[in-house]
Amino acid sequence: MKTRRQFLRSSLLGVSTLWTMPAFIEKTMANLQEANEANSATQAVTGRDNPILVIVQLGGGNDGINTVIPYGESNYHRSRPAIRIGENEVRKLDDQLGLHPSLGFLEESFNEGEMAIINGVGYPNPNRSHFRSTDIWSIGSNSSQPSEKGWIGRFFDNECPGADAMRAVTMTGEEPLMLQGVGRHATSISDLSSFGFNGLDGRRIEDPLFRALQQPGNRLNANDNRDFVQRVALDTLVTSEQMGALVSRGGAAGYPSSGLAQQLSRVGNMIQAGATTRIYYVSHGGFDTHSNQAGRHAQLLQQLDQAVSAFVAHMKRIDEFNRVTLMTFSEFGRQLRQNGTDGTDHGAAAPMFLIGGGVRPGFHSEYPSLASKDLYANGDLRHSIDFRQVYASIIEQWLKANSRRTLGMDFDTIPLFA
Amino acid sequence: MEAPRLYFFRQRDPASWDLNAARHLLNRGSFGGSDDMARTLFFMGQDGAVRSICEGLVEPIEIPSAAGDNPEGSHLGGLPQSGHRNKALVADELPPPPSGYGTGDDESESDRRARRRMQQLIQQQRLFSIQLPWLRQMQSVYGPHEKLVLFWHGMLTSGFSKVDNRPLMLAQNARLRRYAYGDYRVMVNELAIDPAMILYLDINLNRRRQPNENFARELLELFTLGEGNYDDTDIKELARIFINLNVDLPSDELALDPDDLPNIRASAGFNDRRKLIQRAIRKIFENPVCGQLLSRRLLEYYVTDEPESAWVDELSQILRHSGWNLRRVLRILFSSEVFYSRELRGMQIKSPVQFLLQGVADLGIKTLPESACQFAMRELGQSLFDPPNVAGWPGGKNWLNATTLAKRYELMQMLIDHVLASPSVALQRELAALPHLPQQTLDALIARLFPHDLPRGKRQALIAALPTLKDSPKSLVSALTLCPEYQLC
Repeated sequence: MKTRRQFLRSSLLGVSTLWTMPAFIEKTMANLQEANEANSATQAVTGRDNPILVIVQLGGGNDGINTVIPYGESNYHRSRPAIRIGENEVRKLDDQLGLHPSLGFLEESFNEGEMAIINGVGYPNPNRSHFRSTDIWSIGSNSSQPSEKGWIGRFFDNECPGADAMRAVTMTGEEPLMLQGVGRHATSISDLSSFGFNGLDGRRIEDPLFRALQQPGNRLNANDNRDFVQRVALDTLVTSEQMGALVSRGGAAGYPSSGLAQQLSRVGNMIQAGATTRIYYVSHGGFDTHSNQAGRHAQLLQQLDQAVSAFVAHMKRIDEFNRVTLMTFSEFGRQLRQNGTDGTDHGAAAPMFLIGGGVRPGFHSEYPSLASKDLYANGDLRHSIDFRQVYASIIEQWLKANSRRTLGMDFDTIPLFA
Repeated sequence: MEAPRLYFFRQRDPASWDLNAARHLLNRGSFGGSDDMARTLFFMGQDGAVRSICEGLVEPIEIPSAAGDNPEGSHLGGLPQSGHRNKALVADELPPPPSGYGTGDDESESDRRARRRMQQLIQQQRLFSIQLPWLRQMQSVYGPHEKLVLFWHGMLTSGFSKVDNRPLMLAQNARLRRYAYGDYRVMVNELAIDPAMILYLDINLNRRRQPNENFARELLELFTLGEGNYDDTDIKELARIFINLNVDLPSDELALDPDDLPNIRASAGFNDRRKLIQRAIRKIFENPVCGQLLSRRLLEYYVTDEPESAWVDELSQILRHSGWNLRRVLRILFSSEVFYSRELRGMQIKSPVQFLLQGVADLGIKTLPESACQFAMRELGQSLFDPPNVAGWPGGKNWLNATTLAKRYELMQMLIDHVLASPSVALQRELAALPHLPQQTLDALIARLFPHDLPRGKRQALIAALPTLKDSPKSLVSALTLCPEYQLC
């Protein structure tokens, strides 16, 4: 299989028709390829081969109990007479648990060993405010200081402190707290159109003089800082063009029209274009199903399922599936008992999904007990694993860094990646 | 101790002193400067120029009397030493958030976003209110001193994001300024009892039963010995000396009088504790490896991001022999063969602050434009008083990538626009005075803006474009500063 680097090289050299390279860049890239050492220096700078995490926020509090369904428990069926999913409809994963009928693709992923389900994720003293609980998930602690940063922001602060606003890209319009650090690491897709070089005097980057000045005047082989700044300039020129093209190009083929799918299609485009971004953030809202939940929830899960399906197919098509992990989270789950309007109220622990070529598939951690004695007083599920254990495991095993530096303390990790 | 024999850092022949060497010293030892400044240094000769830079000044001007009787020479332009209340701290307050922004759970999503944005804006504004005066001080004739303060700020660092208190950040900054050229051991002792440091490295959370080893670890790893030269026992022993230290803070930072900083509370009497701390730090400095870390950091900051280990060894010996005196060490460094060697000249990637200030100097701008400073602080990856983490800014190649290079280009355009909007700026006059033949104008500008000649291909492209550029000094200067080579000094 081609590595990411080889892929990039071949596409830069014109084997791929995705980007039409101006001749001089092509020539420079060819020069670079000859000088092997020089090439690795560029890679070290841009980090195009690093693992990618795509974070999918399920906003509003997804009903985890009707997502990963404990169909084998009688208390499930008793507690939700109007909104339960019957045993014959559930997409059974084993003799106790199954997925919502809308999640056909995820069932397939699970069975093919490309998905991990982490059961019962939550935290002590659960907060049932959407905003507060989203903040807690974003920060990775229950601190309420206004200056608190997000865990991804802190991860970048600690692991790659230089500024690079392309390390994280959000498709949600504004920068979520989770990505905010002391340094600037994140860009919103809406800003991508202004990303990169503007050219000279407000003229566009096609300006021949501007381009000539970004071009090395002689061979790059000294591997010193003079060559380094030249390489960064070339890299910026290439990336600026790609981002400009991306923004004007819209979504890749094969994605449905839902908001989530369109966000994921842009993520897919950026990965395909060889963007250096490590973290993508997308959002799927509307899970606050207090009344008449059944139809609405089925629709939301179906949009999730189809969007992820298109994204996974895209990643496999371009040979990037092994470099990508998609993670879902929601600020909380919902209560076991249905409420008086055929919906559910804010709850606590819920499952998370991890999908990608690198995940260790199957169930992780215990599904919370539904027995009355094990529930919180209001009927909420207790968590069987802290969400920060999941973060710590992702940081250690996928992003390959020390989790303590980011999370401020040690959390027991679980083996989430193969 | 026997004086070390100088090899790499032996004195460069003063007879070879020329304008290029003077400019190199001005760029590296300070934040660049005008042609006049470079010429002043040139006329002083190597010895005099180095002496001047190590006084913390590039021009022999009168030192304000407040600093006159301080042998370690501290100058107070916009920043308080320990002295008067900084205007920046009182004049810039944003209006309080409109009433109705609650913090309860029932506020709406849009209220919540508005509140968060408002909080962020206030934080940015507060931070910038102490950044700008420091930048102004850096741009003044005290540039060399401030360059050294910035070095210390990157090595013995604390961050506003965590400390969240401007008087304390400024007080730490003043400490760094006061001891910048002095005995490194004194500096470390002072920083160990600095209120901002106590908050930044959780010294205040360090308890006998629940030890927090954050500060003890960084004291060994980042301030003195370097990674691998201590073990966990060392950390635990050291952490014990720093338990139960706390800072009494008023809830409103503006109630803090910078003349009279909050007391540090120690469980068993502050003076006794201070003695214990001094003894512990003295012991650390007895370790023969101590000095390597500082030497490496100095070389990375002033000379090259990849210093040879033999240089580090030699500079470390010089450091120890000088009694850890930074002024003496810098004099030797700035006079040395290594510092002026051909291979290293013009090969440093400018830090964002260097890029901003050198750009301002190159364009002859006298008063720092506020909006450009704000942009530089936010977008280029070096937000003063707010380093990414305890290790400061990693520097070197880490400064540049596709995002930051594009932002640096944008900043230069902002500065050039600023120049054109204020016709009094020197650049206009100088451009008018330059030889009229376009090609000579071009070569004069290249010589002035770049440490090396441009590659031939670029020069040819510029010459070819001269007919379209010659009537617009803006386009010509823009084009030059948009060469990647302009990132070097």
